[in-house]
Amino acid sequence: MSDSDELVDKLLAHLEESGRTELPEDSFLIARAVSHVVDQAPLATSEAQTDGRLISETVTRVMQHLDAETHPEEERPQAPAWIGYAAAAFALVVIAGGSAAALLLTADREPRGDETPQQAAPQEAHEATPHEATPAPQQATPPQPAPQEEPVVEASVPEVAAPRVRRVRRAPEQATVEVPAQEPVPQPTADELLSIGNQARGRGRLDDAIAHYRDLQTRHGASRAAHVSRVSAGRLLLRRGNASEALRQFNTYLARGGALTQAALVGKATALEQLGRESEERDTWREIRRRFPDAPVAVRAARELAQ
Amino acid sequence: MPLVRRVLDGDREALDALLKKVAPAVLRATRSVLGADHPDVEDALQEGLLRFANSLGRYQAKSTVLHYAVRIATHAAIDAVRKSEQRHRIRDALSKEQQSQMSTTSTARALVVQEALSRLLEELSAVQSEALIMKVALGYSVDEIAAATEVPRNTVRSRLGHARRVLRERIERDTELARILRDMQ
Repeated sequence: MSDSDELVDKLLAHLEESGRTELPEDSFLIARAVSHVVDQAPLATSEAQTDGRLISETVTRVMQHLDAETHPEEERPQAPAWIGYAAAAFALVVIAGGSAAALLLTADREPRGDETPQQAAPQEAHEATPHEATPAPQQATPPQPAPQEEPVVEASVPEVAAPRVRRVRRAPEQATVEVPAQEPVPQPTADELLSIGNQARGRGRLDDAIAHYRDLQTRHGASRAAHVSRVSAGRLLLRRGNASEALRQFNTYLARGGALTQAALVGKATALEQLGRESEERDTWREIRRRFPDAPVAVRAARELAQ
Repeated sequence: MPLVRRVLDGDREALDALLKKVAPAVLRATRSVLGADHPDVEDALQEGLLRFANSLGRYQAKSTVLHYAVRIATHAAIDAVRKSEQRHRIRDALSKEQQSQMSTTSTARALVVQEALSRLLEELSAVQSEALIMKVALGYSVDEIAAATEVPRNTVRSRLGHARRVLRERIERDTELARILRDMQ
């Protein structure tokens, strides 16, 4: 074998090694990629599935509405329809009774000095301002692992502690303490903000996720992460019933295009439908069918156009 | 085929299951083309899976669905290499002198070798690159490649032979690459 042949073998061995490489984050990588692709392939469903989903979504909306009044910072996962109806009825009773009880319990109540400052959720921490009288949390709660598809991004939550000495009021029995000055915390990168938004979405905190995506678009508007976030934000805005802003998000993404074009087009068609702009909606479905004729979404496009 | 049929019938869970089934092999193919540490691996993986999902309507069960996915993903990854600015940044950043100095580190050697492979994939036709990746990186036999790509075995052998010739010529032209390869264990 010639010298060149031996070197060719070495080069091919490198190629072989690249293909064999397995990294700890592979499962996340795969789950995330699969999730993205499945997300943007709104497939046809049978009538029965559609009916079931509509019932479920209606119940969920009722639950979310009730939930927003009792626990505005949280959202609940979808529950089976019968549980939803029962819970909705129960929640009405709880709200009526609970509101009265809450009024009684909180009236004239002063904050207790020995209470541990509540740790802020990422969005809450982000929205706090440095000049607030109450102490900002020194360390925000790290995001919890999202179910299955979203990797944990640690140390990516923006902290808001001001870089100066501040006096913190404590309980009367405690002396005034000084919080040491801190170095300015680096701002989160575009990818970190995208991850935080994705985590919030994975945990069902839709409003938080939308806020993170908007923040990302404001801070790092030209980044790839901000570009990608427009499709995710658009989909969440649709679920929140804000079709006009969702449409803006999808159109902004489509102006530049990319791997999520199919999802953005489907989102755009859905937004136009919600806005009652039927002619433009049909044009969009036609475009989807023309550009992705072999994709499962083409089946849905054909069905929408046949209606 | 039943899983594919369910996907085409609009079953989202079936699509999820199918993608999870093929994704590890798709990731391997993507990594072998781009290099294990390439920053665009995730994007290329996503693009490969997306193209696969969008091409299911053309799948005719002449090869396994896994081979079909790998084939599509390989082409997606090759496209990603061609579009990648990263490779050009590496090439621009490393002058010949710097390459000489840095080639003592394994990371730098791997970069140079990966760049050589990327350039090779540019020089080969898509079907030749595909055959090379399937054979070397994914360990497919000639018969398996022939079945997956729907060509005779001799065509596969010819493509592999051509790829090897181009590779050898490239090494003979590039003395720095040859030196780095000689130094590699």
